Amino acid sequence: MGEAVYLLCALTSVSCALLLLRAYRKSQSALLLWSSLCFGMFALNNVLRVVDRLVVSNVDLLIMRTSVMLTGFVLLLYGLIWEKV
Amino acid sequence: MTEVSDIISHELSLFISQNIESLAMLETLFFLKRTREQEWTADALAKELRSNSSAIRELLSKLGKRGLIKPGKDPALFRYDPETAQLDNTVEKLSALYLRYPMRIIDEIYSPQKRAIRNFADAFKLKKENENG
Amino acid sequence: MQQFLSGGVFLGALVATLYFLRFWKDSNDSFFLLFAAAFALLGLERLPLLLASVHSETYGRIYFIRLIAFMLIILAIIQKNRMAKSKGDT
Repeated sequence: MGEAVYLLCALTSVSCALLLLRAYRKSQSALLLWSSLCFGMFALNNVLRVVDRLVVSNVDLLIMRTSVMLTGFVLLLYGLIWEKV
Repeated sequence: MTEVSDIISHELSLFISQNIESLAMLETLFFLKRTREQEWTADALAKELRSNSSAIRELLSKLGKRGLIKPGKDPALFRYDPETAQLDNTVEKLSALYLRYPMRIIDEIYSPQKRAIRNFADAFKLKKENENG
Repeated sequence: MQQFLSGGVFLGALVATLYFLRFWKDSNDSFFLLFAAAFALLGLERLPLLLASVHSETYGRIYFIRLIAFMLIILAIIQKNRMAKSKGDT
């Protein structure tokens, strides 16, 4: 069940990222690029969550997953703040 | 850009941010409103306004999708025909305001913050707006 | 390290939420309200992780928060397209 949720989230994130990217190409509005990348990171985070649950290994992906999430937010914030200028 | 007490009402500001993307679009809309008894093709309109046909075509398509203009019996012909009386009223108020304070309206159209926000929301429209029929 | 990153995510989500709330106020488009709520949840998701400090079992329930967050985003997109369609029908 959990895996299904994370995959759904990953799919949604990818869709958002692609929609934003498409719109960015048309309008050249920087915010769209950064938020697209942010959703890309969210997608990656969700995929890693699934991997972490399904693949049993010594390596715990927790730090990597959270770093990815944080990176996503940093990208989004950069876009939000910069655009406001 | 700060305004002391804003000339533009929230209703008009919302209308602009949701519907008017450029000065060209505004002028086209007002022109069609002034000549509302007439129907225009994109080419005829472009010639009249000294603009180019493809730009006008795109504008008309967007205005149509926003319920401000409608095609006639011949789909190539357009006229000013807002979907609701309230829309008509809003356009009327906007045109009156534009006559008195054009710069303010222009600022409003081009305020980048609003545009970025609008672009973000519009990105999630699955159907592209300027589909040429 | 994890706490630091997690705290960063929480703050990032919080700031994003505030921006979306402001966009909502500026544009009156409920689309942004939904996004604000979704991002708020993505931030709040950090709290149980923080409190529990044990990551394997709690993950079982955590995903509900994320699920709701993404459902809100999907809802926002659906709503936006329904409005777009009704505005532009011939």
